[in-house]
Amino acid sequence: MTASVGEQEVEAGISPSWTYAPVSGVYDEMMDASGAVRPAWRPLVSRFSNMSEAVLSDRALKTEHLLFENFSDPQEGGPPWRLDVAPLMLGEQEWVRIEAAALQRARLYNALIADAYGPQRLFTNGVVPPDVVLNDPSFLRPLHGVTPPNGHLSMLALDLARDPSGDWRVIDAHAETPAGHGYVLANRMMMAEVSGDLFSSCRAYRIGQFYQAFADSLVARAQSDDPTIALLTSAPGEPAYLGHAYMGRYLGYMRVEGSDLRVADKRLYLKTIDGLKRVDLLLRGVEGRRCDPLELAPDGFQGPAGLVSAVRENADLVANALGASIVENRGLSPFLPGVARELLGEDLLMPDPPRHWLGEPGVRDHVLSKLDDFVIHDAHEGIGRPGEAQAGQRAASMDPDSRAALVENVGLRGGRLVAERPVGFATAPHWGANGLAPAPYALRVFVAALDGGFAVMPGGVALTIDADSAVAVTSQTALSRDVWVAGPNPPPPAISLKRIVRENAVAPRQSQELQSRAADNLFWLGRYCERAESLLRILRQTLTQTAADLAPISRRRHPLAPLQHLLMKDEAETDEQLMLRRRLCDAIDELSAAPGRLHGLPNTIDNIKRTALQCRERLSIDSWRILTSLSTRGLASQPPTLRDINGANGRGSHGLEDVLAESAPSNALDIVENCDALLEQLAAFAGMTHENMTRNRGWRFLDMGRRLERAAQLSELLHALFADAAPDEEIGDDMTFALYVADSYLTFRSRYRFAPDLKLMLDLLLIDETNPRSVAYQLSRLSEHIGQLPKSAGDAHRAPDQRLALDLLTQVRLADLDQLAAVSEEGRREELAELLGAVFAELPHLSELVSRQYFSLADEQPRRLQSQTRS
Amino acid sequence: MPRYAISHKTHYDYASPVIQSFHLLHVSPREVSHQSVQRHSVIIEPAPTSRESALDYFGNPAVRITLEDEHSELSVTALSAIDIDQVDTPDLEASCRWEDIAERRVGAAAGLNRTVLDYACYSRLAEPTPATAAFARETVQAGASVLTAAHTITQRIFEEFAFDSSTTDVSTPVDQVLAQKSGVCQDFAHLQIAALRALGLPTRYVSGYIRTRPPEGQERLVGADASHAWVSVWSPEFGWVDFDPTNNLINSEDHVTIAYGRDYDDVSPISGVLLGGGDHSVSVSVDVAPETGEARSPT
Repeated sequence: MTASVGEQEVEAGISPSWTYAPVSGVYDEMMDASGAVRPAWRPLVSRFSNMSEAVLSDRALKTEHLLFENFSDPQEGGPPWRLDVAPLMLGEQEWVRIEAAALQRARLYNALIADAYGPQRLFTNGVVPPDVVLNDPSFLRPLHGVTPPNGHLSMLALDLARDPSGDWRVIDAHAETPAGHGYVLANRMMMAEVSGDLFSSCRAYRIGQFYQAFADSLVARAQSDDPTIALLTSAPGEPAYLGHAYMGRYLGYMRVEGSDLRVADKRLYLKTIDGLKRVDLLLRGVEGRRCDPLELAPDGFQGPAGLVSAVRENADLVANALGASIVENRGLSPFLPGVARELLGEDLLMPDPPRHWLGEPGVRDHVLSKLDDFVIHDAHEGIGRPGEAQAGQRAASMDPDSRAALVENVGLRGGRLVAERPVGFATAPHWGANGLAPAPYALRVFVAALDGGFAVMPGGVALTIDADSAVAVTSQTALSRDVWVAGPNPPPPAISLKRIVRENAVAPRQSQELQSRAADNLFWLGRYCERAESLLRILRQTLTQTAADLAPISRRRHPLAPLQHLLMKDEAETDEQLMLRRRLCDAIDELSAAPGRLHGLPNTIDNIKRTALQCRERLSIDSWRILTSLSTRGLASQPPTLRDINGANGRGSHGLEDVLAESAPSNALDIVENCDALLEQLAAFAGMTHENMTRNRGWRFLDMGRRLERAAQLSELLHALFADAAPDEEIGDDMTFALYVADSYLTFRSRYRFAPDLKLMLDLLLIDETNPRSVAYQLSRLSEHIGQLPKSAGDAHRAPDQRLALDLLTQVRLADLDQLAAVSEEGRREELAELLGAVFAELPHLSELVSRQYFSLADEQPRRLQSQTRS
Repeated sequence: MPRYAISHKTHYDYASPVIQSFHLLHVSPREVSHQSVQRHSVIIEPAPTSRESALDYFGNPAVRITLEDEHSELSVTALSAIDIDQVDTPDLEASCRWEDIAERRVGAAAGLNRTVLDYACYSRLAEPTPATAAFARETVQAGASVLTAAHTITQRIFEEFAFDSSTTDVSTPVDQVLAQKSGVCQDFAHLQIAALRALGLPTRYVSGYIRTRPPEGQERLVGADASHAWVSVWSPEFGWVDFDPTNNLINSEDHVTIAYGRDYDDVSPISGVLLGGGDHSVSVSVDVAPETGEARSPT
């Protein structure tokens, strides 16, 4: 069946297998009052009609799956929003109207902001009551008189909705942050994945060009051939982070936080491992008033202190300009037609919904006298995330106390409140549990400043909204829809959105400048991964050697010996005898499952996830998935309650004999399997960074962390096992243990087929620089990395970190195997103990030196100081 | 007409070096109708990397400094010589009814324009609350004049609230001050502002100094004065009139104005942001010395 036949078929209505019934008397986006499908929807409906419900459900499921995989926060769990498989279609004629209205709004708002921060004609001419703006916390007085040459607005988002009769209204505007772009990009990518050729058959506009043009205009505006453009966002884990990070990644901008930036000499700088680097343009993804703790909100540390002074010097530095979000104020609604006439000499093309600003005593009295008819909203919410507007307060459904409180609030804070009559919304089809059903919706469209004007993105995001509670876009579940604007036929040539999104390589600009914070996190990510690996290997080997009876327990001095030093790290008790009495189960559980133990596995894995989240934009999606799916489930030998009891009572109550006699936990093999699974995941991540990550400085710091931790872990283990000479019959087991943990058992066996010899093993694990598991190999890599870092390269004098790394490597290289293996009269391998001791004692020092050299800028935490007026 | 020689010294000691610091100073007295600044200077040590003086949004002289070199201490000394004119207490009853302003029957034509309305609007530290509104309503009679309303609240705070610097800090909410009925000048000023704004009246925060008079027969103690804060209330008839709830005074010659703002945040004498520094200790000394004889101007 061809598409045209399908179109004809649906001309008269939807095919019989489908039922779709708009709410009577309410405008529906897809179907007119006579039951005919509107032209823009015909290709889509025709295609949908050919799909079975099962196929559509399957696509819906796939969408959920994609969302979950790509966008769920490991700390939160579920995906932050949902995506409908049915896109919202907008016809060309409809779009022309929306586009014109959106463009006018952008010009209008730009002029309004310029007036409020400049001559304030609107106030003196009585067009806008001054207190509409003066009551708005986002009106930033220190910016008054600062005029950005390129205008205040670079990005604007508008929430549009039709009332039930079909007339469009601008229900909200967003100028504070680029809220919603992340949704658009992610939704479009997912739709491309699940909808097959549906998109192209609908001949909808692509949106890649819009972003490309926007990015180009930002570069032009920054007035530099290779400008540094950074996207200022909140920290990972904050609600707005994800969307902004996604947008930043798509546009290839560095994502920075307030603490990554510094203002010096009225210029804005980024803290990098090379020192301070000038920032040419800051794309702002955080609230303006929280961008400078010196001159704006005193508790606002989301930007660097002194940013306002840098903006006075270069008014175009921040986009959107600080303070631009005064246009979000709903209290402006009744005055906008007058503003349009005053500032543009035009009639307002698309009005706001009927709204009253409650700062005027007469209006306030009117609303209070008919309070049940209204919903009361904050005039300025300051949250632009799609679907997260506050629901508003409805007196009609309140108990007397709440109602009295609302009346009081209107009296006291009227200047910061608006009243709206809920009128309901038009509907659009939404794919739910019962198939396609009409649901009220709002549409967010996006405007960007391009050279010489504004442009509207031909698309957007639509949200299913709660028709009753609010005029604003409130939607708890944020059920979103991609918006397809029917374009000309054939569709315009386009840049593939999907291809760009799927390229996970870091943008070239980023590889030039490595933020101190990113370097810090990558370094520690490397360390934590290696720490987890080492811990898992030791646990696994302990269990294997005891459970599988590779070594009869009676022969070993103590099965806990390799765990001892790990346990000691977090324990104040240094009484070894006491430690030795711990039961094997307890020791394993302490390391593998006990929460709160600093060097234990759960904490290490939490740290992996935390540091990974901090440098997520430098990890591929696959790497990210591996790390976020790490879990310590199934690693404990006993259920938590039993473990707690043992931890409280059992410790110290067993004699040494009890421990020795005790076999491994009954579920040892399960634990071993789970260790194997985790090790596989870690190996996959290691392999992925090794194979896929460009050898830039970010990779270098990650690898340095890994090498440093591996050298420390291995030297500690060798020290624990071999510093004191064991009886001859045990040394074989200890050597086997060490070789397995260091993943060098097979190498050893293939090289030295005969009796295991300590010297040969020490050579392989300690000194052999061709063995990527040896201590020497780690030190040699470390030394090489440090030599390549910006503060070492090309410097005749070796920096302290470089000297230390070289010193440790030389000590290991010069070690004499005979002396290392020699046992003193006290039964101790003095030379070996000394060498290993030096390595693991000095490595933390080396880590410290690297931190101080490259990450210290990231540690600076600005603090606010205030004098007091205390008389 | 008294002339005052004022010195206001603030010294910060930091436990560890400060890498970089930014400061915003509001220690330079502004010109007001009854006050003229004869001499003024601000001495900053160590010398700042950059220093600029400008009028802020509210028309107050502000100094912005940055220090880019490591420093372990900072001292700011403001020296001023100021003449204060005799100010007559207006006839409080002669101002309009407070409801005329609350209901905006007084408009821009009568002077209720953007610059005045700024002080009737939201500000973080002096936002009207249900409790402060109730306090204002039970204190102020219906139909009272604007200045009488302000005076009644001034008196009530003076009589019922205890001066106690141990019960509040720089950001104590007005509701807490109201509940515990104690605080310092800054708290009383914020409370009075919140109460008057709850009635819809433009009220501003005034930062300045007050001359302390030694007990009869005793010498004045040098350096024992302090920064002070009070409020100023607007009426179409008299413009801005000062009320000091801490001392129950109206427009006095003992008050020297530094700056106006919506609340303390706008005009804090010294605010700053530091990188590094660890713990800090601060010492402040203010001396308001009346100069006699030569300062008299020929009016």
